[in-house]
Amino acid sequence: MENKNQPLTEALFYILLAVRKPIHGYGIIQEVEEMTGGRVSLGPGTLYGAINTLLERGWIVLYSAELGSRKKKEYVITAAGREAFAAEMARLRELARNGEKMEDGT
Amino acid sequence: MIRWKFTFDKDEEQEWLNEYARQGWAMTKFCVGVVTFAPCQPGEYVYQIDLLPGKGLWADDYEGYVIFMDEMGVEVVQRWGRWVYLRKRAEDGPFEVYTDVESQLALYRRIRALFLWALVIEICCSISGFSTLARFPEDVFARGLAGFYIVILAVFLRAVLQCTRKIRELECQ
Repeated sequence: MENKNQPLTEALFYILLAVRKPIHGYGIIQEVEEMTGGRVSLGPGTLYGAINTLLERGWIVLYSAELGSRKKKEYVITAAGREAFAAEMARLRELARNGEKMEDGT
Repeated sequence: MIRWKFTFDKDEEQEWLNEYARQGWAMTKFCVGVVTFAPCQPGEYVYQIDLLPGKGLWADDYEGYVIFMDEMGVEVVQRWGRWVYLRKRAEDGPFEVYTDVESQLALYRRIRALFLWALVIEICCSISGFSTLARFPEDVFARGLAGFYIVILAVFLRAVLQCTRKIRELECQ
């Protein structure tokens, strides 16, 4: 099992971002493609594995799955997921802030 | 149309299926090396092979996987335990099951673990075969059986080494 405190992979980062509102699997793929201008295109296996990882960690939950109907499963972020995302954003901000030093030359 | 293909190299088999699909033959069935094809439009489908997470030969939540893939426009054409043959219509866009290094690494690690498991079982089974050969070294049947075990051992060992090579390549990325 991966370490929860490791930096997020790009796939996990964008999936967490996409599930800030309830969304189904195919919607996640489209949203991530849109956000990255087509650079990040998630394969179905990559998405399936990532969703299971996030469900196991309690970072996302099933929002709706009507049994017996053809409605697709939707997922949504949890409080723990938002916390993990905020921690990752803090790490990325620190990276960007420190990265500025290269340009400043200080 | 029926063709024979015996390999434990996922990438080679996948490429072989896609070559037939480009020529207008869509794989519909696979059974112990015997592959059945049906005519299709040239390039109508793209095939991919996947090994589901699970234990031994048993997949975790196969039904959930099939429903998920169906929502993505991906059809599970054939399943053998955790080993699945997938296809998607080419007109629905590019098809690659695993698109990042992390998930590709996880796939090859799953495949390697499966073949290592098979290798250990094979070695356990072959012990009786080799002890029979030691007792009856002239016996044709005992010799044949030992030879058969050696061939299977080599096949599984090759599969494990191939996966290790792919894992190393991905780790370098």
